[in-house]
Amino acid sequence: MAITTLAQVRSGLQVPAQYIKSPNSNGVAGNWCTLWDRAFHPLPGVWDTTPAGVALVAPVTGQIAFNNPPSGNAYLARFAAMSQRSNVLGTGGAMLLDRLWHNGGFVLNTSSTQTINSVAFPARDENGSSDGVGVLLALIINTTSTTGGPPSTIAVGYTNSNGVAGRIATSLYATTAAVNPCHIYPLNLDVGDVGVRSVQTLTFTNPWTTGAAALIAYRPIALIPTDYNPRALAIDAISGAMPRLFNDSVLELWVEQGANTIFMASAEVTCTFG
Amino acid sequence: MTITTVDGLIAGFKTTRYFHKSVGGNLTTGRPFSHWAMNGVPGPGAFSTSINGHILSSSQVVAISIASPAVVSVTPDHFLVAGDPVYFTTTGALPTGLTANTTYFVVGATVGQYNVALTPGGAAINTSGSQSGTHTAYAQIDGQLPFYDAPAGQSTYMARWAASTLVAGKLMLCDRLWHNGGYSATSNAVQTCTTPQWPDRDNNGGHTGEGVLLALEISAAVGAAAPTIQVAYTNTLGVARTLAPFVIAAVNSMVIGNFLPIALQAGDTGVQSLQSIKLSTSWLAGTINMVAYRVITTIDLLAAAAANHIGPVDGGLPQMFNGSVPFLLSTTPGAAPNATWGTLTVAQG
Repeated sequence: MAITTLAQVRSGLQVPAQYIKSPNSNGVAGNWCTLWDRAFHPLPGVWDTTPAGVALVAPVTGQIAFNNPPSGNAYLARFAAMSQRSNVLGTGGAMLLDRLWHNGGFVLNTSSTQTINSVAFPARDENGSSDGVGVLLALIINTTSTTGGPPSTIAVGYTNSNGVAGRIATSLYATTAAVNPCHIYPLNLDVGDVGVRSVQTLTFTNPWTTGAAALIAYRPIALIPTDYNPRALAIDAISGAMPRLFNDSVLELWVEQGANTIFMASAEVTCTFG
Repeated sequence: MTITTVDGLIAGFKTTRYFHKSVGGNLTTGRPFSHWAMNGVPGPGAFSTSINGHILSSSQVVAISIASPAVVSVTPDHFLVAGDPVYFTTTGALPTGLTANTTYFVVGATVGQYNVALTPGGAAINTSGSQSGTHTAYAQIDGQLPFYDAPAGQSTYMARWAASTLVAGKLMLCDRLWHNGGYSATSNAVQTCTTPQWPDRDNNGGHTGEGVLLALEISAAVGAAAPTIQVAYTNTLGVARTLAPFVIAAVNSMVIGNFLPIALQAGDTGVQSLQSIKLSTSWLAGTINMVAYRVITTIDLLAAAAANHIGPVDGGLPQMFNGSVPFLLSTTPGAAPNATWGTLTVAQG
């Protein structure tokens, strides 16, 4: 079943899930950050400590609340977000995403190739399968700030959504030496690829000397602008085009920072079932 | 059929797809910049090295031989390379050996033909038995934003687009219809080509070129020179036109991705084919390509790291025709390398 009318959107609306968090260290203007493990609401998320990582299936501590529909499908009906940085018009963005997998247990201070060999991702790619179409990777600095380096490349060996191994993902933007927890390095895909099925290796060239990080696999759900403090912006079912949320989604918020300062982010996520 | 109601829109929303692109080299202030060959999600696209170029389409009607191995034939050409994933649909029956909606991989690609295998670099598949109907091959072109055709009898519309960049400016979503290569960037002689018929993706879903524009795209850094250009093309009415210049002047040492639109002659509304280009002076080094493209929609990015979005109502639901090869152009007031990200959602109905 699927929602095909405005009346169905309305009848399937659910109670909004709330989000309000603040980091405890500065980020980098223009880059993405996550408040996954920060306090308040929802509760701080935890990280895995193994290179193979863990497949994430709701409910997971740290995620924005999400319930499976009793029948039919779930869709994003409304997404509002506010990010407090500076009173500058139009400074940043907020992205709602589904975190499928994350890991830990690797180091940042070696140029040797580290084996990851991820566990199977949950069946929540853009087609609701585990093939990995639309599933992307990112490196997140999580518990300890980095020093040294910075790496000239972050190279993650992965298997693409067609099952072809030996593909290499690299960082979207340049690394820097001193990066605080919450900082995200989104990774580019190899030529022709449209998603990631699994991760095999991780290699840094000119590595950091200290720091801690995790790899995550995620599927973007919606991106909206954030405005100046303290006004929230939102999309509704029509303007947001109702992206589908698969059962057991582990929803998370990323914030595109407009300034290098500590800030507060809040969001509200409303689903509709049908 | 078309989308005419809010309910039709709701029923037609498709998967939201994300993109990000990194720009490694310096832009040129005020000049458009193509993200086609940049690293990111999707990965970088390639350029043609043929002076007559390649039409670009994410879906093509094909003929499949019953042979060992089976040969997939496309008229006039395809733009696939070994290892590219491809799948087929049909209005009838595929030959024995091929299954609809199953991913295969291109092997043995030549002009207008290729074989397919079950694995990258694997053995080419043999076919047998009989076949019927019209077969269509679907293959995303390296570098394009993912696009999938509407079901029979339906159309595709751009429903929502959100984006942000590290440098303020304008971002354009375009359909790349054709591109070529094989030019000498150091010659000031007339360099001629015979372009194939554009795919049926002009403003009217036809191939006479309504709304189709030309640009010169740099795929390897040129030297410290700034030639002017004279482009000879045929307009939408089939009239030969000459001496079309750049819309905005070239500058010294432009790098990969710099994109110089060609000005149409008075009264023209699009380009049906390209005949020649002539640089005024040598560009000293580098590689240049011509591109035929259609602008689908634009979004203003008012400040660095300031996202913006348009939806189905304020965006006007521009149509994207079957086979589209969406790619991004940006224009910025600055010249620094940057990154761009966003999401794209279409509706079909």
